[in-house]
Amino acid sequence: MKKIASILLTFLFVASAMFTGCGKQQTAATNADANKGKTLVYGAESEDEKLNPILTPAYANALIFRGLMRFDENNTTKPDIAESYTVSDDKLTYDFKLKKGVKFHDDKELKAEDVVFTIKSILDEKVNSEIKPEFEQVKDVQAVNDYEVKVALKKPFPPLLDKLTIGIVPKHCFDGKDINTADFNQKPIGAGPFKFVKWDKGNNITLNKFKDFYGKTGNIDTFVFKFIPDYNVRAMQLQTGEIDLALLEPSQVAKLDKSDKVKVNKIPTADYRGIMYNFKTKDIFKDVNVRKALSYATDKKGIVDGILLGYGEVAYSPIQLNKYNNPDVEKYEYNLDKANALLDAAGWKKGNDGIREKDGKKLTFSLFARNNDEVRVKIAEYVAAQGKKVGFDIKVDARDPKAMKIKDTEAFVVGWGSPFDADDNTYSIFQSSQINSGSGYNFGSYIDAKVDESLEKARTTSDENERKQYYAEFQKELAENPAFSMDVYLTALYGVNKRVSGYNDKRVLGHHGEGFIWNAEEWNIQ
Amino acid sequence: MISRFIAKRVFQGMVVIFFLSILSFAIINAAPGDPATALYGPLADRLTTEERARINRNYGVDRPVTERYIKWTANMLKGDLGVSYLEGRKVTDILKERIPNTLMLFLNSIILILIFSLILGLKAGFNEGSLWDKFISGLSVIFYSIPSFWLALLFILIFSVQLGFLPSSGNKSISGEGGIIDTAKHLIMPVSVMVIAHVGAYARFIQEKVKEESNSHYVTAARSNGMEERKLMKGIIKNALVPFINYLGITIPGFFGGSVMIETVFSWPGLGMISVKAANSKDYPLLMGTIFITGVMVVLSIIITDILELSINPSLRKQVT
Repeated sequence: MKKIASILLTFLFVASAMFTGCGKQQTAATNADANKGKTLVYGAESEDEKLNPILTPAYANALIFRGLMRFDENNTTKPDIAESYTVSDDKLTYDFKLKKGVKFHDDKELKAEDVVFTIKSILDEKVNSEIKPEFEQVKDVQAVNDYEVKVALKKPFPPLLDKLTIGIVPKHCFDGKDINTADFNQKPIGAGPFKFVKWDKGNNITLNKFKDFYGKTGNIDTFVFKFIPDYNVRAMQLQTGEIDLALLEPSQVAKLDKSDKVKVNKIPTADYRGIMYNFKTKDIFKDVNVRKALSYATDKKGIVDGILLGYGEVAYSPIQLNKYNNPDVEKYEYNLDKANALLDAAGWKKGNDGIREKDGKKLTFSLFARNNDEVRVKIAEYVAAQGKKVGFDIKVDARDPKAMKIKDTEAFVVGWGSPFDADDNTYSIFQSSQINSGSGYNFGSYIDAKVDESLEKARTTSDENERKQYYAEFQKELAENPAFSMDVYLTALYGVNKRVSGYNDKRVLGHHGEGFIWNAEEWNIQ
Repeated sequence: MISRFIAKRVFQGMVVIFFLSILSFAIINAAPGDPATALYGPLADRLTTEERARINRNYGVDRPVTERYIKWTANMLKGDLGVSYLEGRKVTDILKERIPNTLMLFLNSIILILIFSLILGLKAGFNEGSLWDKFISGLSVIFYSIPSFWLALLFILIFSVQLGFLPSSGNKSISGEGGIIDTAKHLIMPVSVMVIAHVGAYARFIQEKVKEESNSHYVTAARSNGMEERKLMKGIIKNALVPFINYLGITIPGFFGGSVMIETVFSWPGLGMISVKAANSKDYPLLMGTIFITGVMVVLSIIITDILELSINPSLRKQVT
């Protein structure tokens, strides 16, 4: 017995030593710099798969790469790698002059051919780029000389400057390689303020300050992305000081607010939630009173307080946090009487079961919500409960989003936002030309001539005041003939160690609080 | 003799893995969704029909399932498990990073589980009716009922947040230069949770088996014939160990499943975490790779337990020859 036990144990120990030994050798090649100087550790919610702006957005891209343009604290674009640019009168050609002497992390100079390569690769059919649809309007891009690039468009497209914030990748790193599987994606080289040092898979990504960076910098020498998928663990590590920065959940704020180590920043985002009506699959939505009634029947303040625990804002317009917002529109404040009156007037009569009907059609639809997003599911359930009070029969369908096409749903808990140019995520969503266009997101087949016209005009004008006017008209019409029932805007919650300073807690963030570390190179640590 | 037995078992294992690969390939493909939707992830709202078709075409998932399976198998036999859709690099490279971490957690846990369950179980089993016996029975039920993710969070709260002794995530510190001590520090909590979650069941099993053997007729007969108590104990242990090892072999696959939770809470970069991610994101090549390698590990551990069993149970040896 003893013999067997000892044989067994020896075997297991040897095996353990063998396998884990290999592991150590692999990771022994680490960087000594990681311990020196000021280090900031960001507790990231998930691990990126690859770091290449051509292929996919990623946390670390903002620090490793820089683009022709860059967003400032007001979310407007300013030239970055571009020194200046001019736009032709027909708004179809953009001419960019590049800064001279901008260097990639491998010491090679960034030139026009790199810009051309980046944009052409995004448009390449064979490249699995997630952002290809955003560049659909680009007809051609050419290098005039080493420091000048011309971008030609198919149609006027003001958000082009937003899109050109995309990080420039060095062409010479991809010679003869398949971009989808290149080594570069795991060991990226950009022209941003931080250069890639190492990627310890499953644990962290380490970046070091790039000494030849052309812009302003603070005192952070090392920026670490540490992957912590569990939000409870993130909150705990903020308290222990293992990490300096993390996105939090509303339920954690009360506790962390009391901590003397951590400051919880509540930052507005342009990320809204609402109910998308599908006019193609469900006829009842063609009656505007049905949509208005549902908006009146939804207590948006209730969603903010009950579901978002107060960390959100009541929504009334898709560009509410944009500089072109028009607050002078119908806001559909919670009013069950108005909802009932509208439905009564439109001829929707309550049946014995409490569900309204008209011409033999019941006031019923199914509302799809992605089951991996708790907030969306709760909103769907809440709207269904509220709708019932005025005679709707809404069936909540919470399912894996991968098993569903938005176009096939009857109604959908939608999440969009326009943190940047007002055209972004408005034209593509509400313009009727986008119903069947390859790059359009008008999944509900919403059609409104006035909305079409004002969005088209706003897109092809560059005069600020005129654009503001067109977007005001657009919002007014959209409120009168709603494509969505607008519910709430989310607030992003970032816990930051008090030793960190220089970050911006006012800039409106994007989807899922994206963009908080946009100017991390300028931050300081005590 | 024994080599023939091993050869037979290995062959059986290969057949099992072959069927496993067909089955998992079929299941993966029957599940709804496609890589394009997964690639877009949180941005799925902006995936248009054209984009979906383009990306799926690039990944080759527009081809029939059988064609893809044959291609996968052919490449697999050459040692090529394909390229992960999401990461864009070789599946074998990804597995090479993950396997050592999973084995480190697994082997350390299983060794401690074996030691503790044997000590506790034997002690309780040989003292039937004693306080120790009742204590172990109670303890094993308690340990077995504690949800491991809850225990994991509790450990983090106590040892990381309150006391600040141990790191709460990952398998090494950020600089990566801590060496063995650093790794050990990161191992303590996940291994403890694994051990506590499993030791109860194993200890209880051995405890019951020892009691069962002690009360059987051959023991009574041997004792009445004046057999030495030590020799008797040796025999009982030997006989109790056979079903225990069997049980171990059966439950080991469950270990790999159970470690997913532990790996997620402790952000342990093992196979569990990557396979969940691969499953969620329809990363077929990576998912097939993790299923395949887990299958190989399970089959291997079953072969090892079979051999162990063979070496302590002479009656089995007869079957082999």
